[in-house]
Amino acid sequence: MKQFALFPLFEQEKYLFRNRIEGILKSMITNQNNLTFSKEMRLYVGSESCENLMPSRETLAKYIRLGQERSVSICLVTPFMITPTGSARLSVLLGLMNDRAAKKSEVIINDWGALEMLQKYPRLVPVIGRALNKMRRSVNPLAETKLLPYRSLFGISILSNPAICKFLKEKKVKAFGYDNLWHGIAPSKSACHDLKTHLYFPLIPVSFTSNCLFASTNREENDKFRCGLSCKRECQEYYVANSSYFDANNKSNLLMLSRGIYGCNNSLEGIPLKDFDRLVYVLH
Amino acid sequence: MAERYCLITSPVVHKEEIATLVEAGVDEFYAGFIPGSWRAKFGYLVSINRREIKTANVLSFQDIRSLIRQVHSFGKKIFLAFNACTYNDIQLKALKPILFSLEDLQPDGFIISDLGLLLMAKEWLIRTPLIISSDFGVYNSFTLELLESAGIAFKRVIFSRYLPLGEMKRIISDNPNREFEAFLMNDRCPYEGSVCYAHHIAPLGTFCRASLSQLKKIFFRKKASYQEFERSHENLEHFWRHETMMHQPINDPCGRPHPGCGLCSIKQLQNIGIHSLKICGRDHQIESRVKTVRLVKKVLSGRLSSEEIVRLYCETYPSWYPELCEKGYNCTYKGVK
Repeated sequence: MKQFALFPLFEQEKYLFRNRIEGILKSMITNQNNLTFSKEMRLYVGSESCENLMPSRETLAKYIRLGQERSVSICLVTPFMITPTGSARLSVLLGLMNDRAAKKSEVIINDWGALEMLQKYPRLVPVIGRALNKMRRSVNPLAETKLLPYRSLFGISILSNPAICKFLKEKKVKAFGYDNLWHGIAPSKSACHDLKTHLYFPLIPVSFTSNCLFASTNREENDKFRCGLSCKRECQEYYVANSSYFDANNKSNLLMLSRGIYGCNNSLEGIPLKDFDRLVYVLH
Repeated sequence: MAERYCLITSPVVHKEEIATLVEAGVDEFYAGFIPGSWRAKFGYLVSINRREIKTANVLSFQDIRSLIRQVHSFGKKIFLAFNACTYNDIQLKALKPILFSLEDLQPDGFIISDLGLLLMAKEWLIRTPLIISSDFGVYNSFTLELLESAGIAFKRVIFSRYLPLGEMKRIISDNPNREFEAFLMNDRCPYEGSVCYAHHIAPLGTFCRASLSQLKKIFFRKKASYQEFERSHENLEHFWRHETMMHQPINDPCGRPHPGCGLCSIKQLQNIGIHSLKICGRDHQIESRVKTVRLVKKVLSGRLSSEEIVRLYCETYPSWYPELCEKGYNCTYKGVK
């Protein structure tokens, strides 16, 4: 039996209703293998791509309360880049999760610094997010052909290294995130037998940028596209996509969502689902 | 606060380049190395150091030995990059004898990006100093605490390309006993190295250079006002121009610069306590690297205003327009004057 979690990259609030998550789950599993899911529903809130998208303390408090009322477990997602300024904000959120969320609530770690911060909060459970699973995510079909002889190699993660397993155990990490990669993944090669594994799909980050396109929307030309811009969350209003570059072989188009460049892989064919404890459905 | 002198760190591929680069002003070097044993198993495409091409790497033990000796004969240091995205157990098995053989040649540091390799280096009792690569992703002091808690000994940290200077300053203040290196020139990638999972090979153009120029469609999540509609399209056009203009063919006869320049930020980088300034371009021609080093040296040694720096830049690269500097088109640290 699998766990199910929903990770909406935007408009997270509207998914706080259990029936809305169940609806998505049902529409998803009709197209997939004979999967059975546990009753517990999880909602990932926060952002893997930008610290400006971390929820405010008030928003997170509201999510925790509504989640408890509607039997939806809230997992806080932290971004891949947490600056000293961002870490002060994250400390507040971790404190809140520790005080108000259910015991063993999860925090999804995408910056190693956040894992260290989390050590001070024993009630919370660290889970390694997919941004720290740095397996190659080739979306270029021609490049993939060249890489064909090495495909199986690219499917093996750092969990095959026992030193990583020991380290993650010491840091009390309970699970590790994989993406549903086009070239396949081999979670069975993991040396971390105690560690649970989560599979994210169908949106897969191929890269992240620090120069935010969206934060520059209302700025003069010489003030655009620099790192550390403050913003009004313009990325919540619109996103951009390509039309042709990766169309060959019907592989994947690219989307720029906030500071992430995402490809899409809808198929779970060939993915060893039995090796995963949780499916994390990512939508935007 | 008195300005400190920053070291200039430059890539090197051949031992014949060293004298010229030292004469131009290089204080320390870094290099990539793909030995035959690695190539036999993985070719060039499974990168040992994120440059999946021959020309950016030293290819034999004999050559790397000569290179290290030659650098040391000038009294300079050389660091070797092992900054692939990640190494799994199969790759680590192949890497172990390579690192051991290199230890005997006494390089001055291994630049490492993967937590697993850092942990293994500790387990293998590697004596060569470890340097935390920008591709590891150090964005806060907690990450350094985490590495310390794992017993990983390291002296230097290379900051990510795009960490704002104010944030760098806070991390440096928290860690006064460490050396910090910052990017300065060339290879202005739009993406963040620590979380870029794409390949540097591409028959259609490398991912970093080609992907952004293809982002041409805008989708609104809800109906936008006409003003929002117009501004977002205008913004995407600027973005497209900003990114693609910098990724035109380089090394052209008119003297076009490689993308990425932090010359105007040198003073600030000195003042916040940066120890060394990185010049990228392991695959750039030697003439181009020497030109860049001379330029950096001049700015480091003189007390030039931003206007003087722009003038100097335009003299060095005659095809460049000062107006593009005004717009920050080539800035590594845009907005810093």
